[in-house]
Amino acid sequence: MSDSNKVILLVEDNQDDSMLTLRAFKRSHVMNPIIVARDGIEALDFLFARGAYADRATEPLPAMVILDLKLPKLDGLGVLKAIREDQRTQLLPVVILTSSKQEQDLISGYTLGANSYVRKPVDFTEFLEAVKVLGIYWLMMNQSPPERTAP
Amino acid sequence: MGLALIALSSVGAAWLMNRNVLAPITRLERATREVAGGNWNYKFDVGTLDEVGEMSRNFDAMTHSLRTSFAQVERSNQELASLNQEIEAFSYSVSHDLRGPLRSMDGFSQAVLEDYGDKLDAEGKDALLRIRAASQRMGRLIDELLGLSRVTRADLRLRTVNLSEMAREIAESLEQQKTGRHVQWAIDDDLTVHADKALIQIAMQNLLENAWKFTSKTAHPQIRVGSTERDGEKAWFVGDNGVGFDMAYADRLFGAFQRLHHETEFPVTGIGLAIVQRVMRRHEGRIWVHAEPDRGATFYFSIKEASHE
Repeated sequence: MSDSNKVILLVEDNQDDSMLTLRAFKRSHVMNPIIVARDGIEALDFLFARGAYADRATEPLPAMVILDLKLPKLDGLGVLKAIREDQRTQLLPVVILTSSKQEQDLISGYTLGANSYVRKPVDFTEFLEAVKVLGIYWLMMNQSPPERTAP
Repeated sequence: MGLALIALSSVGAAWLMNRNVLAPITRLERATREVAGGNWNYKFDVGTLDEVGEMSRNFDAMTHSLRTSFAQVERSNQELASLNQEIEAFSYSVSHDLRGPLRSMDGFSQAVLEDYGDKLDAEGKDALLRIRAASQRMGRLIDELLGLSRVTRADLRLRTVNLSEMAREIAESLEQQKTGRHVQWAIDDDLTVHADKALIQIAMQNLLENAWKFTSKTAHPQIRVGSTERDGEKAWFVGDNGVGFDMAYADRLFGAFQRLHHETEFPVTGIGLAIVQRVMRRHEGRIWVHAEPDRGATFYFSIKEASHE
């Protein structure tokens, strides 16, 4: 399976933000299918093929996870922690894409093992640029870690 | 008989001396030791009506009033701590939640322009562009207000900062952001200041950006960075030959959201100098300005002498 068929998991509760992110990806010619999870639990269900996503057990992991920090049920840092604690998803590229550049968020994000931290700009032109660069870097330039089989 | 009487009376005197003077002094000594050791509840009153008794009651009154003051200070400290926590939570929420709606306003205005631009006349497009510009401006305002509160809360890490190098780097980045301007920079060598590098960086960035903006309509713009000494006080300065202002307005300059020029003329948010002033206050220093309309402005700052090298 080529990398452009791999899904991108966008974890975002704000519908406006997910629409704008999808729009930005489309405009940057990122072809990968994008799955939107609306809270932290849904994101983990998707990754670990649980609940509504139980039929995904044999599917490969996403190419990358784009993670907002403020989320219902389980926040972004909680999702990140769970991803890094599980052997299957330990190496999965996770990019935090959030409103805040508060020092405490940056520190916790990197401490918990985020691969990248990008702040959503207000200016859509800048937002588009950021998403484009993210797509180019994580989907084209970066070599993904080898897939691990379930223990 | 006479001798025995003398002996008896001196024993009596010694006994009285011991009971009325020495014992209270021993107790006073013990009381001061207790209080010095942190036991502010120690009761010393010897119960007598003489001067020693009076003194012991004054002593107790003193520890009592100290106890009350300490309790008050403790209460104020707790209030301050919870207030700080509230500010922290407030700016966290501002940072996360207030920018979101602005992103929607800007992003969807742009979406309409892109997808339906051919159906809009010039007025319709202009309206959308104004919505975008306003959202972006509010985004900048929020960022700067957060910057202002960060400056207030940041821990100071004092070290020697090379101000000349810092100013040159900022000048270079300003030149790169907007090419085509010919500003003559005069940045003195070997300017150092003992301060928090991150905060001084924020202050210098603001001062130099202001100088850069307010010389944008000047024929031969010059920006100077240097140091000076007046009445034994060392001060650093950032000066320009730009639009300047009337000194009658100088005291309004350092409050948040104050500006002396229309935003359309010079695009500044009006928070920059409030941030600079707060940086200087954090260093127990001050900032002042000398300006003249159409001849430029020079901002001077000094920081606490004891924290110099």
